[in-house]
Amino acid sequence: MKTYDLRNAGEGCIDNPALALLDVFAKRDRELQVIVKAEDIPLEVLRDVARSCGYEVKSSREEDGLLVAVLVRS
Amino acid sequence: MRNVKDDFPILKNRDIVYLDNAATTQKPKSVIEAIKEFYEYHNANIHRGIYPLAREATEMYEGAHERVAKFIGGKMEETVFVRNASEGLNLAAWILKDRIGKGDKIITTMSEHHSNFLPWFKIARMRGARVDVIPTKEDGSIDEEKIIEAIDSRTKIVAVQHASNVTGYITDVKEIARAAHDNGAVIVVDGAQSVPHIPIDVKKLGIDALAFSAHKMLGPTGIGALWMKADLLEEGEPFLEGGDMIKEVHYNSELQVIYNDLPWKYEAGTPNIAGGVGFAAAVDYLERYGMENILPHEQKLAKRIMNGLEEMGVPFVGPRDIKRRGGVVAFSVPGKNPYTVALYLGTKNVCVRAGYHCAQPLHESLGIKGTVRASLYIYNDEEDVEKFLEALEGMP
Ligand SMILES: Cc1ncc(COP(=O)(O)O)c(C=O)c1O
Repeated sequence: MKTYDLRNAGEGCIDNPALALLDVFAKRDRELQVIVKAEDIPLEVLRDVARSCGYEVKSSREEDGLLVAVLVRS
Repeated sequence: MRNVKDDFPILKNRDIVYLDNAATTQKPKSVIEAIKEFYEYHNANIHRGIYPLAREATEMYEGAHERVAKFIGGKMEETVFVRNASEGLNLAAWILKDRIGKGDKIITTMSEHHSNFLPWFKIARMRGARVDVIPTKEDGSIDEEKIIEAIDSRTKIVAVQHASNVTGYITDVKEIARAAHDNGAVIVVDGAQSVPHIPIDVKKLGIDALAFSAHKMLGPTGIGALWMKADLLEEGEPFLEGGDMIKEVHYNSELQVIYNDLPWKYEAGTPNIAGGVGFAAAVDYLERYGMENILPHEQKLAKRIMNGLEEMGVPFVGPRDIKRRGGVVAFSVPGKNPYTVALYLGTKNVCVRAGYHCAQPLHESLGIKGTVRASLYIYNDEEDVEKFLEALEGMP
C-alpha cells in the first residue's frame, strides 16, 4: 500500500493540500494511505471528498494535528 | 419567463451550481453551434486564399473583429485578437515600452491580477523605470484618489483594473484616465472582469487600451482582445513576427519590412479563426440578453450571498456597498483553510474557487491567506445562491 504524505503541499493556487488530495485519488490505487494536517483536511471533509472520488475511509487516526487515513476504492 | 439556463447545455447535462464565472463562463448553444458550423461549412485559412471558401472564412474572422470592436465602442482597426486578457496586457506593455525612459514611472495597484502586474515590472526593468504600486483601501477596494495623487509628469503609463476578480470592486477609470492624460500618460485598463458584465464604451471611459478574454463572457477559450488607440498601435512594434502581419519583406543585404494594416500588424501567423467566430457569437448573445441587465442581476444575487455570509459570521472582502461592486464575493471561513472549503463544496456539486485568484499581493496586503470565491453570471439564479449557502452552512 502506498503512502502519500501531503503535509508539505504548498499554499498556492496550483499547489495546495486540496489539489494534492484530488491528484492522489486520480491515481486510482486500490488501497492507499494519506497523511494530511487535520486543519487542512478534517476527517469529515476527507470522508465526503473520498466518497465523491469513489473511495471509502477504511481506518483513520489523529495525532499531533495529523490525520492518517487508509482509503480503499469503493 | 424564459429560463436563461436552458440556453446552456452544460447546465442541463450536469447537476452543478456553477459559481466560478470569474475564472471562466459556460457557453450557450449559439456559441457552440457557431464554432461547429464554422468547421462544418466555412473552414479555410484567412487572408491568403483566392477561392470563395477562403474569402468566406476571411469575412467571418474580420466580421468578428467588427462585432467585438462595436461591442466596446471601438473601431475594428484598433481591435487586435489575442489569446486572452493576459496576452493582451503583455502586448500592451510591449507596444508601450518605448514611451518609457530611465527614471520614468509606471503606476499600478495592489489589487491587480498578476496579468496586469508582472508585465509592467518586466517593462520597467527593461527600461530602467520604476513601478509605483498604489495600496488599496482597507477593504481591498481600489483607491482612485491615491492613484490620481500619484500621477505626475514622470508617469508614462497607468495600468489599472476596471473590476476586481477578488473584491468585485468597480473602479472609476474615467477619473483616473483624465488625470493620466492631464500628465501626458496613457492608461491601460484590464477589462477581464468588466467587459463581460458592464456595458463598455471605450470613448466614454476616455481610456487608451483595454484587454479582455472571450472565455469570461460566454465565448471560447484561446481568444480575447486588446483594444488600443490607433496612434499607439501605429507607433508600437509587434511582439510576434511572421506571416499575415507583413505586407512586404525585402532582403537585399538589408532587411526591409512593411507591416500590414491595423489590426493585422499584431496578429502574426494563422490565428484562432473559429475562436474569433465564437467570440462574435458570444457578443451577439450578450447583446440579445442586454448588457444593461447583467450587473443589476448579479448585484441582487451578490447581495443575498453577502447577507447569507454575514448571518454565518463569515467575513468577505471588498466594499459593503453593493452599488460599488459586481457579482464576485470572496470570503474567508474562520478557522478553515479556503482550499478545504472549496474541496468540500465540490463534493456538493458547488463549483467555487479557492486561493489567491492570481492576486497574491492583494491578499498579502490584506493579511489573508487566500479566500474562497463565488462569482456570478447571467444564468445564476436564487436557487443557485441558496444551494451554495446551504452547502456552506452544512460544512462540518
Ligand atoms: C482581473 C483579471 N485580469 C486578468 C485576468 C486574466 O485573464 P486570462 O486568464 O483569460 O488571461 C483575469 C482572469 O482571471 C482577471 O480576473
